[in-house]
Amino acid sequence: MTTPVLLLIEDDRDHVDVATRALLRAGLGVKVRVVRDGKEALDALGLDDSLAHDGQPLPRAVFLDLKMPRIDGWEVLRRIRESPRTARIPVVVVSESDRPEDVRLSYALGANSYLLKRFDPRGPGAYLAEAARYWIELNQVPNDTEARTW
Amino acid sequence: MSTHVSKRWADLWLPAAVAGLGAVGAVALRPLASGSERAFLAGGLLLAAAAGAIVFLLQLSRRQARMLAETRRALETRMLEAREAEASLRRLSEDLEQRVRSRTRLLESTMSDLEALNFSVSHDLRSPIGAVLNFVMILEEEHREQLDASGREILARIRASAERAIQLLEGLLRLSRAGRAELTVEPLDMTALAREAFAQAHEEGEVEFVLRPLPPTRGDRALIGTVLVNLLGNAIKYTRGREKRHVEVSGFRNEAENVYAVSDDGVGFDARFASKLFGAFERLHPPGEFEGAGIGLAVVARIVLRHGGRVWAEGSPEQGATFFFSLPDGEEGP
Repeated sequence: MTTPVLLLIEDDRDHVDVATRALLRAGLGVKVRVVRDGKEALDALGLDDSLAHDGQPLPRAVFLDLKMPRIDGWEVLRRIRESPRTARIPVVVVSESDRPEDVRLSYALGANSYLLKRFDPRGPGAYLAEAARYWIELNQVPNDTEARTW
Repeated sequence: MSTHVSKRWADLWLPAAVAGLGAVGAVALRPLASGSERAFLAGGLLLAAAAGAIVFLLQLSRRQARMLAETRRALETRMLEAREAEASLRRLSEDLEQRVRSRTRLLESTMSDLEALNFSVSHDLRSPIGAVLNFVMILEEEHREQLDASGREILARIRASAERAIQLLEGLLRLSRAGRAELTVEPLDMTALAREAFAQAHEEGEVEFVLRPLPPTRGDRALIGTVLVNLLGNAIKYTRGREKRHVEVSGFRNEAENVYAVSDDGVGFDARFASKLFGAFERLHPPGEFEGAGIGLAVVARIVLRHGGRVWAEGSPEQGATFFFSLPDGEEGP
């Protein structure tokens, strides 16, 4: 069995450092793959038409930032939900914004969860590890879509 | 005055002349008169006097009528003047109201600009300072051994300052939310609300809570709840270290407003600084003695002011403190 992948879509380096450290230390047995903007994210998910499938496994969960250069998080989310192959992948929005309209739009586009970026006094990124544990270890997704790898 | 008097004499002149002429006539004819003629003369004399009197009365009534007309004209002029004055007063007050309205609008937009600035600054600062804290924590965890005692001390100080900064920013965000939140005004059972607030604010230790029946009012449930939680939290906090801790909530109706009071028998404050209490980040006690960012009372003031009410406080050192807030009574609220 291949190691499950958690796709972290995030352009802020500090946040990437804190998040990957927290996710790896949580002992979830996941590989964390980081992409730095929406364009790279679509490539990584095989949602960019110009790219052939590269045989990489689909992520078990996606942690998605909203404010990114080029293609923003909502567009990525919309494209993930549009394709039947990726439609069921749990997407957790991780954003700085607590504006109700941002939260509302994210859910309207099919986000599974919305987390506010925060300083967690329990430890750097502890809340991200907590969320990852839920979506990777506890949550079940149906296996009726296409194979998890392509 | 003198013209008035001379006018009166002028009025007498004609009747006197008539009467005098009659009298002179009668007296001139008198020597020719027999007994019966004398009576006739006396009659003539009387007649002349009567004619004079009638002329006098006629003149008097004419004068009266003239005066009446004059008075009426004067009155009408006065009324016209009064109406004009009233109209210009109305114009003036409308103008003033208009000016107050436009100034208020300006003030409100400036306030909301400031709120927005406060919000975005504290929001945006949170992330870099959070990063500092995160990396300090990572450094402490993973590279502790490479640091000597003084390095670790410096790290601890960086951490304490960054934590303080985060706390202040959280406070500013709370204040900003209190100023921006949409008000949903509904009838409030203040007694029940105060009971809930005490349960929420009371964290540790034994505190006697006295709750007097409170007049109901209208307001935003969540925000007024925050007011009570903050005031009760403060009251409880500042009784810490007392042998017997005692906190009381009471209220009364006062003309067009309901007044509520939260009292404690804690450390109190110097009345000279009463006006500073409700400012953001104003602290009358050294930090460390009592925790908190110094934002709770600023939030209270912001919420109460937005409801059209007032806040004030009474107290003296070591004699406890009472914090009051009022909310306008009835439908004409916000």
